[in-house]
Formats: sequence, C-alpha cells, structure tokens
Amino acid sequence: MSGSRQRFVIALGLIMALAPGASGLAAGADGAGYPDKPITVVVGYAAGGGQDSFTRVLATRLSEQLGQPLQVVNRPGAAGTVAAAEVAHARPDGYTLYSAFISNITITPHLNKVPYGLDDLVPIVQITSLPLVMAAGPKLHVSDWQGLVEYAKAHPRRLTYGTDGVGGLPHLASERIFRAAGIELRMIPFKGSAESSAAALGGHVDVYVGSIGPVVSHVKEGTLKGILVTSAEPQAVLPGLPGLKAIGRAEIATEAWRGLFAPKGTPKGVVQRLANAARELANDSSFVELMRKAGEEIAILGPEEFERRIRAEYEDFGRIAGSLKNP
Amino acid sequence: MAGELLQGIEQAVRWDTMLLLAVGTIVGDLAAAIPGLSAIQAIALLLPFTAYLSPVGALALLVGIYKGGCFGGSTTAILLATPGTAEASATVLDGYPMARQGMAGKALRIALWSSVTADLFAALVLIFGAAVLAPYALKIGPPEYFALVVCALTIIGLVGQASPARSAVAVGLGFLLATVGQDPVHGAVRFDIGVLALTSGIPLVPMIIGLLAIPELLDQFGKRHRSVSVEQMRAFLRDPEKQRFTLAEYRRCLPTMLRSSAVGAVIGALPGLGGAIAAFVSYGVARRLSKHPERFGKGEMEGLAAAEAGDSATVGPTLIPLLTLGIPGSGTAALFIPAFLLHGVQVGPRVFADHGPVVYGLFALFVIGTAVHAVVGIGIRAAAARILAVPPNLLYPAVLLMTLVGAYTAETSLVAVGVALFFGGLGMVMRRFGFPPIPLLIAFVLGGLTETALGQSLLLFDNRLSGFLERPLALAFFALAAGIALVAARGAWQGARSRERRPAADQRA
Repeated sequence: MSGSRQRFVIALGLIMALAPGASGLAAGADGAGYPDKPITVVVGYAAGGGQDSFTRVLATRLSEQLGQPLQVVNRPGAAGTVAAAEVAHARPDGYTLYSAFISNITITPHLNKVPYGLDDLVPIVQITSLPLVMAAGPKLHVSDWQGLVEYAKAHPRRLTYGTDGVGGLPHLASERIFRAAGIELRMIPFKGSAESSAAALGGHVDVYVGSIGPVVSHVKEGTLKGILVTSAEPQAVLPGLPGLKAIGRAEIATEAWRGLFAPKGTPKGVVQRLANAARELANDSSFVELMRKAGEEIAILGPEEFERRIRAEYEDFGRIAGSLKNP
Repeated sequence: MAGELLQGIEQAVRWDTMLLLAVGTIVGDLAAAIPGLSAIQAIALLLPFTAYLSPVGALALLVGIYKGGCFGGSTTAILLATPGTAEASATVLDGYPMARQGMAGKALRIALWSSVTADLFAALVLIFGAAVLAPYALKIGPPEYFALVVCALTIIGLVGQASPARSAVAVGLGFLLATVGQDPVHGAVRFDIGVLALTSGIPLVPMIIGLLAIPELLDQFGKRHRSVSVEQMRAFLRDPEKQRFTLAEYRRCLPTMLRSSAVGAVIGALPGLGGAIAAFVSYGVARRLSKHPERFGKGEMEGLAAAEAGDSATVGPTLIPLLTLGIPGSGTAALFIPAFLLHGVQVGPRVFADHGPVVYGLFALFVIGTAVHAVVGIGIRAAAARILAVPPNLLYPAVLLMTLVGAYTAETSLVAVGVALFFGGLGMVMRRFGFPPIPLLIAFVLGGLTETALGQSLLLFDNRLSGFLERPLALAFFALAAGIALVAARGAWQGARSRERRPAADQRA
C-alpha cells in the first residue's frame, strides 16, 4: 500500500469516526441546524395498522417541512411497548422518535410490566385526536343511547359489545360510560377494530365500540346504527351522532390521540423545532381532510399542553384499570 | 356504469401502469424469496411514494407486489428448503424433494404455473364473486371460526408422515408453543420467560427458519455422499427433458390446481386465516383425494401444485371483505387502506358507487397482473435454478447466514435470531428422533386461532358450551370434520389390514 493511499484511508476512517459526533455538535441545545440527517420514527405496530398508516402519512408531510427524510421503522410487539422501550433508551439527539398511540403511554403501563416510565419519554406534539364511536349491529333493535340503556336495564348481562382487546381504550372508555349509566354489557375482545367491526356487522356481538375509521361508511349507510361518539362534542365526520355532553356525561369524555415522543434528555430546541413543524400541518387542508376521512381530527398540542394532558390521563386510567382488576 | 367500467380499464392498460405492475411484481417476487422480507414490508416501504402516482398507478404497484410476494417464497422453499415466507412452508414438502432429485427447474415451473392458474381463478372470484361472497364472510363469527379451524385441522390431519404417534407429539408441542405470550382473550401474559418481545408470542418466520431450514442446511452441509452429486446436478439442470413441465402433466395437475384454488379463495375471503393455512388445507385435500397418497412428501407434483395454488388463490379474495365492507382479509390487504386513503378513496359499502373507475381499474389490474406474474416468474425462475450448481461447501454456509439475517430482518430484533437458533436446535433433535416438524408448525399457526375463537365463543355464550348447538353453520363444519375423520379412520384401518397380509412390503409408508 503506497503512502498516499494509506493517508487517504486513515483520513477516511477519521471522517467516518468523527461524522456522528460532528452532527451531534451541529444540533445544539437551541435546535439550530437540526435536522441535518434522516430521522427514524419507530412505530410499535406491524405495517398496515392504523398507527402505521398514520405515521407513514405524517412522515411524508413532516419531511417536506423539515427538509430531511423521516424513515418509519416497525418494531411490533407487546402492544406497542417494545418500540416505546427501545426509543426510551435511544440516544436523545432527536434522530430517533416514537410515534405513540394513547394506550402505549397512559394505559398499557397500568396493565403490564413495561421497562420504561412516564418520565423516560418526552412528549413533543400531539397530532390527531380520535374519539371512539359506539354503534349497534343489525340484530339489536335500538337506535339511540336512551334505547340502549332501557334495553340493557331490562336484560342485564344479555348484551355483548366487541372491542379491539382487553384493556384497550375502547374497553376502558365503554366500562366508564356503562358504569355511569348503571348498565352491564359483556365485553368480547377481538384482534383489532377491523375484526370487532366485522363481528358487529355480522350480528355476532350487539354493539361495536372502537375507532371511527373502520366503521365510518357503515354508520353513514346505516348498516351499523350509530349511538354516540365518546368525545364531549359531536364530530364533523359523523354529524348526526351526539357526544357525551348531550347525555349529560361530559366529564367522562374519552378521546384517543396519536403523537410523537423523544427519549428523555432530547434538547429543548429540537423538541420545539419538531413541534413547530407539526403545527404547520394544521394549515395543510389536504392533510386535514385525509385524516378526517380516516376518522381522525387534527388537534395539535405543543410539548407543555401535551404533557399536562398525559399526566392527568395517566392518573385517570390508573384508577379505571385498577377497578377493572378488582371490581 | 359501463362508462366507468371502460374508464377503469382504460387507466389500467396504459404503458406506465403496466410498467408499475411489472416493477411491483419483480419487487414482490424477490422480497418474498428472501427469508425475513415480505410483500408487507415492500408495500409499506413504497407506500409514501404511491401518493405521487395516479390512483390506478398506485394500485398497479401494490397489486404487483402482492402477487409477486405471494409466490416468490416458493423459490427458496424449493431450492433450499428455506421458505422465503410463512405461506411457502407447504411448498417445501414436495418441492424440495423434487429439487434434490435433480428436477429443480421442473419444480419451479410447476410452482409458477400452479400459482398463475390459481391467480387467474382468484382474480375472477374477486371480480364476479365479491357481491355474493361478502355477506357470507360476515356470517362467520367466533363459533364458526372455531368449527372451521377444527375442520381445517382434521383435513390437514397428520400431513403425510411416517408415524402417527410422533406426529401427535409434534402437534401437541405446536399447540403448547402457541400459548406463549399474551392470552388472546383475557390478556394475561404467559411463558414469556421475562423477555418483553415474547409477550406478543413466538415470531412465526424465525420459528419456520429454525425448524425447516437450519436442520436441512446443516444436514446437507454435513453429507459426504449425496444421492445426486454436484456434477450430476449440473448435468440434470442442463437437461431440458428433466426440467420440462409438459402440457400433459399440466392437464394431470389441473383438477388439483382448481380444487386448491377454490379452497384458497374461500379461506382468503375470510379475514384472519391467510395463505399459509390455505396452502396446508389444499395440500391436505389433495393428499386425501389422491390415488397415491404415499407419494406425497417425496416429490409428488400434485402436492406441490396444491400448496402453491392454495396460497396464490388467496390474493384476490382477501380484497373482497376490504372492498365491500372495509375489513381487510389479511395484513397485506390492510395496506391497501392507506393506499386508497392517500387518493381520497374510502373503502366500504359505498366504494363501487363513489369510486367506480378506481375499483374497475383494480379489477382489470388483477387480470392483467396474472400475465405479468407469469412473464416475471419465467424470467426469475430461469436464473434461480442455477443456484444448485454452486458447490455445497460455499452454498450452504452462505444460505445459513442469510437465514439468520432473515430472522433478524423479519422482526428487527436479536430475540428473533435467538428464536431461530433455538428452533434450529429443536428441529435437529426432532429430525434425529423422527419427529416431523410440519405438524408442529401447523398446530402452532392454528393453535392461536383455535384458542382465540374458542375463548370468544365461550364469552359470547356466557360459558355455556351448548351455545354451539344454536349455531347451525358451526354445527355443519363440525359434522364435516367428523365425516372426514371417519373416512380417514376407515382408510387407515384398511391400510393396516392390508399391511398385516404383506408385512414386509411397505414399512416406510
């Protein structure tokens, strides 16, 4: 090996060794210069699910805002918590982010042992809010909330409702609503809301409770009879359905959210830069429309508001999960 | 409507759409051939890019990947006993013995033409059967799923194995392993040995790599005397007579292909079952109806044709519940939802009325895609068979490494590599003592479904087992299962009697 070539190789080696450090320096605490390389966004579910589709659409739009590609990586397993644990222990430089669904952060930790705490992940921004819908299948002859309550009171434990799994948000939200009304329905868990909506359509369960997305056209067409949405106010996508305020239960309104998180210790400037980029998306009418079709509303919450919401919710769900374990 | 139909077809037969279809088919075919990669990952990666295409262009890419991805796994299954996807596991049973006998090219051709035949059948089912089949899919609730899985288990039976007792042990082990992870109904975590990744169960692809591929690769590597030497194999591969799949042979396999296509189409239209189960059930049916069931598992072309056709026929029908009800029939079909949404199309009961041209374009793509699938398949297969001419001391270590990388890629986790190695060890022990791995695999795949469906049924019936009596469709499936079991038992009894008369004749059967 000639001398000049040897020097070249050493120089190349040095550049490669220093490059990651240099990029770390470039993104200082103020977030200036961030991002200067592709960002990895980790999803806790397999490709093709709701969280995955959401993240992929979000990644395309955010990379236009940030000028760097966002690469979506699927790390499915343990109800999304494998991915959360991984990001919680990743380098806090803003180049590894976690795309979270409400249950990953504020519900599952109450039900299963997970190797991360609420403080290990820093909330960046809440992007969308997804109220749930309650809808009756073809065999149940009730058309509104009042009718459902009367029927359930006359026939205790006769009715069944399908959800996307034990301890999921639809399960907890429904139990909270049913208990407040003094009725009892039996919960049948399915693998995801696609399966539970099919079971409701086929009349195998009486009521569907879950995301709006999979059933929006069925509720509009009347193949499923919409009863209510679990937000306080009615939703633009299903304008005819009352929210919980209309039945006098605004205080137990429940909405799921999707948002971005970073490992603890990520520079404040970086978090702010990401939150600002996401805020811009609220003005992108095609993005808003796309999300609405999927049953989600853009509801941007910055780092501080998002964190307040999460802390309150975490306490709330802790109480409900506890009461489900020891009724 | 006729106008929309024409508009859809017009968009599908443009040269740029064809190009996307071909690119998709090649990508899917190659991704599926590599263990650990699959059509799902390929579609997920390309999904953001489809936003910049026309709706029919985007669908062309997806349909291509889906079709190619459903078939590509058979290549490595036949050549190396390493199924590139879970769906290709049943292809190993007869495809790999054929390749060992020097007929790799022929096996690849049988797989391709079975897949193409089933693919066309499935496309027609999608186009003409969607409206008819969709309401039936809804009638299948948890009790019916449970009865259906029992029925499937009976049909698959103890697939072509030497010892029923050893197969039964393997089935028991498979069911046991299926209980690892979160209880699908009540949510309790079981047997996770403290590994977070295992709380969602043992990952399937690394398990298949361990059970089927690793023992076979090590075995081949360790063999000093081969039934077919490398030189002979090279000569065979060059010999067109040995590699040809003749029209007469195609005609002989055609009834099996069509029967398997029907089985695959029905299983595909039901959400949650999937291509692997379709392939095994088709294989089981073909073996039960064959005049030479003893040849299955030793390189029987009808066995290979059944496995490939059963799997490929699921592709079109998985879109039936998606298009008509908005419910995806499989993981890959689920990825069509964001692809449609990116172009403002909401799938569900109104899709035909609101977005007719897109749906008719999709139908046209499915038919044209069959021809593209055949052309791409011929090209890739021609190159692939030569891999067996590589000296074994280079080939097998390289493939072994590739399978472990594949296990990692499938789950992007080192736990998956551990799982592959563990099942590699288990597979070697099982092989040494004559326990067949395939029944374990089938029981594992169906075990989770069985448990879920039974648990849900009991919750629905409020823990009364008699609830099944109120479900006529479930009872019909149970009766079918009982009938099949009776016929099989009678056959086995007669077989045992004839063996008593001539004890030395077929000890290995």
